[in-house]
Amino acid sequence: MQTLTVTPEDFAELLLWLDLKATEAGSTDPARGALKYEAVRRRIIKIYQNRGCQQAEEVADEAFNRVCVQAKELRKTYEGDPALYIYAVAKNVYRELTRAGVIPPCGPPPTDDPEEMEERMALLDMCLAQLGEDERGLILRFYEGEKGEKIKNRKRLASELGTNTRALSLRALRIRRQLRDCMRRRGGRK
Amino acid sequence: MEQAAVSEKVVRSYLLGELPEEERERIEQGMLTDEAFFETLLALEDVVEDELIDDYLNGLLASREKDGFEQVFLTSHERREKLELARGLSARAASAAGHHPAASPHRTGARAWWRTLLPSDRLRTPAFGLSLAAALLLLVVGCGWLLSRVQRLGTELDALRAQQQQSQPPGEDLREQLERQRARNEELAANLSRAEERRAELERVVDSLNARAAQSLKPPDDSTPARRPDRARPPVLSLILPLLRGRSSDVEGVKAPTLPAGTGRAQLILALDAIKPKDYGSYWVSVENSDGVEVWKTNRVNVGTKGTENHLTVTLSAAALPAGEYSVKLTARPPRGESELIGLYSFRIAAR
Repeated sequence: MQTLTVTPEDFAELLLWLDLKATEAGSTDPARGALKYEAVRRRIIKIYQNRGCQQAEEVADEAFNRVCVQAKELRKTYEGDPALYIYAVAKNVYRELTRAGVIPPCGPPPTDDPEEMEERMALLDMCLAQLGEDERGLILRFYEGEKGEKIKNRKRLASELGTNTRALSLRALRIRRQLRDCMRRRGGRK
Repeated sequence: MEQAAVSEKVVRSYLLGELPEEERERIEQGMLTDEAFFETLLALEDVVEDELIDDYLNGLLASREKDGFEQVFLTSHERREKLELARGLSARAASAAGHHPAASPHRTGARAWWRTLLPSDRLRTPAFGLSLAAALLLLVVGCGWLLSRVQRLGTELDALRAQQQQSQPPGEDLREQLERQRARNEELAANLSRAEERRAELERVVDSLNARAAQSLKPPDDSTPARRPDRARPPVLSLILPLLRGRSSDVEGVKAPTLPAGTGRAQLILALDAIKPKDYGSYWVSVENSDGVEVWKTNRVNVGTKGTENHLTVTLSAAALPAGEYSVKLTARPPRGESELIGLYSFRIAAR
């Protein structure tokens, strides 16, 4: 894979090219272009994560690098949503990196270290303690039981709360997000 | 460009990498070009991801799905976080419910259900532990003090009840005691009254006998026929001697009964008063002069009863006794015991 050198002027051209509204309205705004850049980049990463790629960020960054050096020309010649162009470039990058062995084939993630698992459980306990009594009780009851028993428990819990399992799942989802955010803060993860 | 609506089922297949390439690209392009589609997809992904994780932990994924879950789905760091979180929550839920946790590589241990009620981070602080220990110690000491106090009060109450029962005998016993005491008092009063009456009677008898004795000593008058003189027998005078109580042998100052001068024989009647003759088997009567010298003694006594009064009588030969003060000692001996002085009396023999 060739090493590209992206200059600030190239990046500025990219932002202008990404500012579609500017293109349509006749004026450009690099700030809007930057927002577009972040949004496209986030989605490219998610796309390749969903494909099972463990280096989705590298794929997205390489794709943007290649587009950057072409941005000045693309502003003049390309018609359509720049995001789709970047998507196509990213697809080529992924194919190339996979063939070159830079990106390993998708596989199961490595197993966690037992000490790390212990540490995570300790973090979980601390974050559970920070929940309100009702929330703590709900999330623990939500995960009570195994297999089919768990489903029955959730139906019973939803009935007790006067709601349906869907709404209950959403409540549990929100509580899990709280716990995850808490664990990331305490664990120093982003 | 608007994308067609996407269902949870499609998203599930998409996340497991089971969608055909064309379908997958349609979804991916929609994520890039359609903001609303992207937001909807994100929302569905959250729900479907949790469902996939639950199914995976519960072993509900088919073999093909499980491969896709491990090969594709779990490549995301964020999803691995979700999986570990769900696994941890399942373990804690099992501990809280008292069940064995689901198959888990974690060392969750069996935590008591009550620990889930307490903030675990608090238990990790020494301050909370010390406070709890101090509170428990205070509770134990307080209970011990209360228990000892209750026991002490119970003991005091029992003692008071016992004391009350002793100091206040049953009403019936108290009345009986009172009645007996009243009867005793009345009896003593009656005895005292009788004793006074008998004393007065005895004094009258003594005076009468003394008067008779004096009468018998007078010379016969001429109006009476002369009698042939009998053989002279000395006159016997009776003298009642009251029992002296609490007095010494010194009889000075006591008006003692008096035998006239020239009395030959005197019958001394010794009042026994409260002395019970049945208490004694033998008696001795001795007479001493004012110098304390015994001048006469006898054990030939007669114990008699006049009315309700007991007396002891001895006959004294008084011819040889000069005028003066004399004391009489009555000694008696109980059936089993030593002789003892039981009575002291006194009398006088008048001078010629």
